[in-house]
Amino acid sequence: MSHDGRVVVTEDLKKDYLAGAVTVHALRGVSVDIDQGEMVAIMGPSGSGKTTLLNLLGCVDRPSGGHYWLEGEDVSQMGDRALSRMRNEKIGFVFQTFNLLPRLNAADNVRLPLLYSYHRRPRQAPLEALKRVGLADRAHHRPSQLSGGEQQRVAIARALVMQPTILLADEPTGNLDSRSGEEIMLVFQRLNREGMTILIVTHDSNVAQHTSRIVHVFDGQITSDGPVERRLLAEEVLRSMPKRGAESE
Amino acid sequence: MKIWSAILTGISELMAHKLRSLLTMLGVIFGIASVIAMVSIGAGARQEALEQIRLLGVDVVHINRKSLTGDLALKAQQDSPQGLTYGDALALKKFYSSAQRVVPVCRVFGEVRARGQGVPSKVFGTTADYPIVARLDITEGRFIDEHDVESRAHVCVIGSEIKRTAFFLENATGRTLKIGNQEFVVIGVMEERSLAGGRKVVSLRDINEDIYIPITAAMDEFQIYVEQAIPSDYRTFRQLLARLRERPPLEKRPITQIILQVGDQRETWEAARVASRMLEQRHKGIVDYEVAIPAELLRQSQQTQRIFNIVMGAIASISLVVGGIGIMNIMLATVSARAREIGIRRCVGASRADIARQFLLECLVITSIGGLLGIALGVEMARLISGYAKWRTIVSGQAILLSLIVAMTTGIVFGLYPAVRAAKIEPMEALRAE
Repeated sequence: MSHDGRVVVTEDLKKDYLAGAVTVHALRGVSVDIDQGEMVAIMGPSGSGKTTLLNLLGCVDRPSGGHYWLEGEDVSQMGDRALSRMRNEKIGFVFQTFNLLPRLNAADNVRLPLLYSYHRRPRQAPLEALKRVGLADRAHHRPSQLSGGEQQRVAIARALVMQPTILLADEPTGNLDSRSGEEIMLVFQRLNREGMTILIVTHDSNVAQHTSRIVHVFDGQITSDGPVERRLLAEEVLRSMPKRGAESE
Repeated sequence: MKIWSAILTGISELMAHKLRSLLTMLGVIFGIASVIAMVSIGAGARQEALEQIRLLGVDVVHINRKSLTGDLALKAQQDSPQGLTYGDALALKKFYSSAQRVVPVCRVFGEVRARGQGVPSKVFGTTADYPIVARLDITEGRFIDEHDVESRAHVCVIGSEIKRTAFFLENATGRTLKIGNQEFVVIGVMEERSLAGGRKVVSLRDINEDIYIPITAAMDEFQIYVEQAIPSDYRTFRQLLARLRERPPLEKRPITQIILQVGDQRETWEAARVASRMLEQRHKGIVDYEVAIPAELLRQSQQTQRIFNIVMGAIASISLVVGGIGIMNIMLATVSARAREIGIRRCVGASRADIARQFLLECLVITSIGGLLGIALGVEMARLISGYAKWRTIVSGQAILLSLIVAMTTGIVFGLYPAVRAAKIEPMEALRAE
């Protein structure tokens, strides 16, 4: 299947879990397309199936039914090794809790995906990635020496280092104060402007307002899917915020 | 993931928890140390046994006088009153052609004095071939020759210790020793032979205190020591004394040992069988002698060694299994503690196989380092044991290599389950867990 500009195509995607003797239908048939260069928010209350959808789109889990094409490749039938390769080469993950390895410095954390790569990447790729998130000067700091916002930017650099097709972010601002969160959204918007496809799972409508399209998920199904009318620009929001300094940081 | 970076991750993981790593390794360290210590003690003992038995010679058969008791002794009194005799040796020499050498040995008892001083010693009558079958060398003068035996010459060859006590630094040859009330001229001195120290596999006497005289002279001049057949009733005792007094021909005189040398070690068993049969006939079925084959002793000691090795091996395997279970335990705990890390690695592209390999390699790193430490400890233990217990120990490269392989195998075997557990961790669940 040719993907002509569509990065993600799903068709009737289903996922069932066995919870004891009861089968839980976490996803009941989701069909969604995401185009190259889009910035999409997936919203829904907890238990709605949005995390399950993220797992499937992130090639961490396999669907029980339906199909998922990532850049035209049918991922739904892939084995563990092939899925791992997809995660490594095409997907960049950003998590709520940053998930950096505490014993490695920023540069080594960013380098982590390279360890599992089949292709040689330039030696300076981790540093380049850190430069893109404005943290080149923090390359040799350990996560514990960085603020929450900085840690999340290191995590974004790690997601970028393999030059993926799509960034998948799971509540990326959930553990940050509003200003740091806004700065992260600024990084995302800037990357999106440079052509990166970004998908953010959130229940924070303020975060969702920074994207160009919001998909609502409820009870394992898409309930609405539409463009954002008054999109927030992180630069403007930041300008309206009180300067840092009064608060501790 | 490249193997090298997995190993580096393993090492940095070990370094991050030094105490835990050391405790984890402890089982393997002691297991391997005991393997090394045991193998080297075993190798030392084997070497020692081998050398001691080689002193006796592996291509010889010893036929020793044996004393009988009870009814057998009474029966012997009639049918084979002398036990092993010089005639037996002559017969073996004459009729058993496969024997390259037949050497009779006859211990005599008599006080030895040099310049009026008593010299502690053991006196043996023998023939010219004795140094060949006993693997001894002469350092001074010569050994008894056939002419001496024929002429019943009063000459003797002394052990190095005798020379030291009787003549000290002076030349011994040409001097005389008094054995009993006979004078013997020293014609040679034997080479000093040091006995391998420590545990003796076969009893070896200190041959440096030996004195050798022609067997004919020994039988001629001395009351031969007859251990067996001292009759309990007075009448037969008198008969015996009368028989001794009447000086029977040399062939009928008792001797203490016959050494039979064959051309090849493999022929010793056959030689022992043939000699036994001949002697049985000559002694009318009375077995008042025993046949000993040093090569057989060697085989037996190797057998014992094998049993020793099996027992040692079992003990070592138990300690390694215990050590391995310890490692597995800690690794399982580590897998749970590092679930988040596993999740992160999986999300950035590690496959289940990558994760399993990483944990397996970490286990391998632990056991390899543990193995190396164990080898060092084992070598040191072997050294201490040879120092304190005066046991010989031999640490072979083979043993070291083997223990390292064993250690690494332990790592792989006991790392497998934790590695599989690590690989089964679901990345997203691991990342969500706080």
